[in-house]
Amino acid sequence: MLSTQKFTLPIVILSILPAMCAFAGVRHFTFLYEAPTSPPGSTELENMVTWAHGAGWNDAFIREELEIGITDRLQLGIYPLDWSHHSEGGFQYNGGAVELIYNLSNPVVDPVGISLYQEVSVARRHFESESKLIAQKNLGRWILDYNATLEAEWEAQGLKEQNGELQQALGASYEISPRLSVGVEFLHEFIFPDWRDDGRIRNVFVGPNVSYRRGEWFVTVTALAQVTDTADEADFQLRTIFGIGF
Amino acid sequence: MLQWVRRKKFAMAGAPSPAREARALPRMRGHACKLIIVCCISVSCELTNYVPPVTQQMAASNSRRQDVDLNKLREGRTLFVHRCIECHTLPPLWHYTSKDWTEIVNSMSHRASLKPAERDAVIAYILAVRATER
Repeated sequence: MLSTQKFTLPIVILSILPAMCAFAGVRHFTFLYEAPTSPPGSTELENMVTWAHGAGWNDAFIREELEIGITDRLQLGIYPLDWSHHSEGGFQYNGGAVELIYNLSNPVVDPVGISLYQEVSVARRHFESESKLIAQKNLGRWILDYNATLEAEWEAQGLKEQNGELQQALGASYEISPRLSVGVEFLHEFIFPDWRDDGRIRNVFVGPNVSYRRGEWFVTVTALAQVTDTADEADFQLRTIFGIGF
Repeated sequence: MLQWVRRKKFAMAGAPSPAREARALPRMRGHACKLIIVCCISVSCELTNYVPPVTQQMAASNSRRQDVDLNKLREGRTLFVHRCIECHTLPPLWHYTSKDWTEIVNSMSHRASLKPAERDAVIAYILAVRATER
């Protein structure tokens, strides 16, 4: 009797949860954002893990995102946990972040689907602002995506150190079946230490991706290799996003 | 610097002779052209997004159903192009029968956060497009 009571609550919760599920949307890319926003009232948990490998070092970055559809055009993302593990420094908590995405046009019926993205992340002695212009076009089974990103960060005591980054990213994804897509992602970034052009670092990454979805969950994986030869940057990056609606 | 020198030496050792390069160039161009043509054909076959705007004719095709009017069809089209693309691309409307479409939208409406009235609007739009295509 006791054991029946013990399992009653989890069984009730598990049977109610699927009825409350509403999927926020599938990510076809991991390094790029897409123009469509989540439906109003939908909630989704996304877990993102990035492994970066360089000459003699390995880093891992872990992000948890709670994605909430507010209106048909506005989406809120909350990142309560940003973690990283560095081969030379162990685990590190990197604070949290909040993002808003506002959709302006649709990638199917309008000439280009446009969305605006703003993220603010805060940690101890660290403040970062990330703004994006997201452009997407759906052509039959193809999704063509473009992101232009401006990132500014302030860190160290008194937030005296400043860095900037300009990034352009291109992606193409082809839907083999309603459940499976494959594609390619291309990243071109300029990092400006202290916002100085003479110290500019240029990186180019390119690689394939694959996305699989079923029911209320999806998983997308991208492997990127560095095409340029920047010494302190990752030679190889692998990013996985697992999302589940609840 | 040393790394740069090593790369330069390696590049010079592996570089083809000018005559060999001249022979290889037209062949490479030919292959590139064929590849581009094949890509263009395969891409153009998949480029259609068939979500026609709502017309009076579509509303008339649903005249037997009194609850379907122009506004409902317009709402259905808007929801169809906004909600469905969050997970997948839009399949051509002729890919499935009217009966199949009803089942597909019913099964996915929950995932797309469609309320019953919104789900009905999407189905009404799809059926109206199919009815006017006959």
